[in-house]
Amino acid sequence: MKKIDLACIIDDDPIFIFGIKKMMELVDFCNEFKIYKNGQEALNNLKVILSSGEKKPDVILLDLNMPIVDGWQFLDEFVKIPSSKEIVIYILSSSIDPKDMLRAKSYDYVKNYVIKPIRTKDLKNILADFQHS
Amino acid sequence: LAKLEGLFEASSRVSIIAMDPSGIITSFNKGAENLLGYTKEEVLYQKTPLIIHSKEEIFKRGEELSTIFKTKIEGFEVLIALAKTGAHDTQEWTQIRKDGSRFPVQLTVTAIQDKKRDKIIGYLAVGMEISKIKKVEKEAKTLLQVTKDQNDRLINFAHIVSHNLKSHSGNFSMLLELFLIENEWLKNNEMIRLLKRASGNLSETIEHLNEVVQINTAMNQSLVTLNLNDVVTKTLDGLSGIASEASVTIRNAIDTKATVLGVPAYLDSILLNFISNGIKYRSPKRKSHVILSTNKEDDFLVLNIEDNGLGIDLKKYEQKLFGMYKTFHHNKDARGIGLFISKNQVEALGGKIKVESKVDKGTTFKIYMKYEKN
Repeated sequence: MKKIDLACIIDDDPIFIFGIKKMMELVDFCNEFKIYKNGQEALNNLKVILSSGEKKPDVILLDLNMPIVDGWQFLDEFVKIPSSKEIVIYILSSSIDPKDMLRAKSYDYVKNYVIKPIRTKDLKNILADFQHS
Repeated sequence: LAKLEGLFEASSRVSIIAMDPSGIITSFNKGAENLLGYTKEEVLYQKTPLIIHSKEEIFKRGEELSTIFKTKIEGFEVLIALAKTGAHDTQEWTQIRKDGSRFPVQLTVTAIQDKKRDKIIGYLAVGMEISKIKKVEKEAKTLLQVTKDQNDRLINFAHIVSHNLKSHSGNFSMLLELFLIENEWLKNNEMIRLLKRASGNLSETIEHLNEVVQINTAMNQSLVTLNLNDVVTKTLDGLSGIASEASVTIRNAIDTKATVLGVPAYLDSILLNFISNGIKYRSPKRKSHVILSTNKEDDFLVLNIEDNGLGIDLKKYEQKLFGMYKTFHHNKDARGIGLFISKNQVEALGGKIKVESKVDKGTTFKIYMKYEKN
């Protein structure tokens, strides 16, 4: 069965990071993960990773409301980075604003919008999605 | 003419000033004397109305008129330029009294023609003092600004509630879930159970607040024409389970052609809420029913939802009925938020709700909704 090798989490909330790390362990979500505390940090690192021979992430879990560079700004910049590998993005946000959900749909590479709080079953769904793709 | 002269003099609160074509004042009534502080003798056949106008305003209006007429218009011509073309010219001006004090007027200037109606022999300026109106207008504007500021703050507050609070409560419930996965033996610990319930309640409350916030911010959503019966039928399908379990008969007597203007999600939620309320608050003493019907009243399509349930003491509770977190029956499912949200949704759609009720007889909710007339 296909497995997520590398996942990226972009989120500024340490409590959420703590929680999702635990949940990823519980559901055996991926082999490795990288954590970035905001969009800027993620962009800086991903630019290097995508242009080098380094291992590229399979999945990005992206928060929207973050300091410096927020989730939307990240998406707008990320699309400009050339990549040889298809990377799926999931938005993980507390926002239930229909406007946000609609906006998320306008990005092709955003696979889904998951409303926080995240449960282990949400991660299982993402994993199942990945295995069937 | 004497009669006209009498009328002229009688208007003691309205200034009527006549001028010859060059602007020299030829009549100055009692009202003008009262309002402007000049006597007839001081102005007749000597002055033009420019002495009672502010230079800046004449200049500004002159520039506007120059653009319109594509020729330079200044001085006295500014006051009569439009009247000269045969039009009525009504403008707000600031006039200056003899003592230098200023007041706002609404001034109408018209041309006076000779008997053959082919030559302008003068102009008539009728002015009405509008200080009071201006004052009220200013107060209204201030009030509007205050309201706007308050509204902005509320939207801000709503955003904090809907976003920040929600992420905190989300963290709580996430951590609790993880904690219980790792410490399964504590599942029945009283304190953990209560903590879980408190966290659940918090999330639910924030969810309700969010719903309310969404209504107010979705006010500008465009309304679509919906067939009421279709939506009701769909809602009734969803409720058939609880209705039969509670042995409540639901009769749908809605005009199948009736349409309303609405937002589909709101209408679903409104119907679900009122119909399920009818089921929830049934009386154990009799065979229960909920009857749905429609009629037209003024500009509204009225949906009547009538039950023969417990009823509400409107004398006591009418004011609170649609408030937040108000419950009136000791029903364990009562959340006290449904009617509040429904009312806001109905109002967001431009409608209203009326209620009739008798304790131990039943309740009828009348939901007024707009519909498209053709």
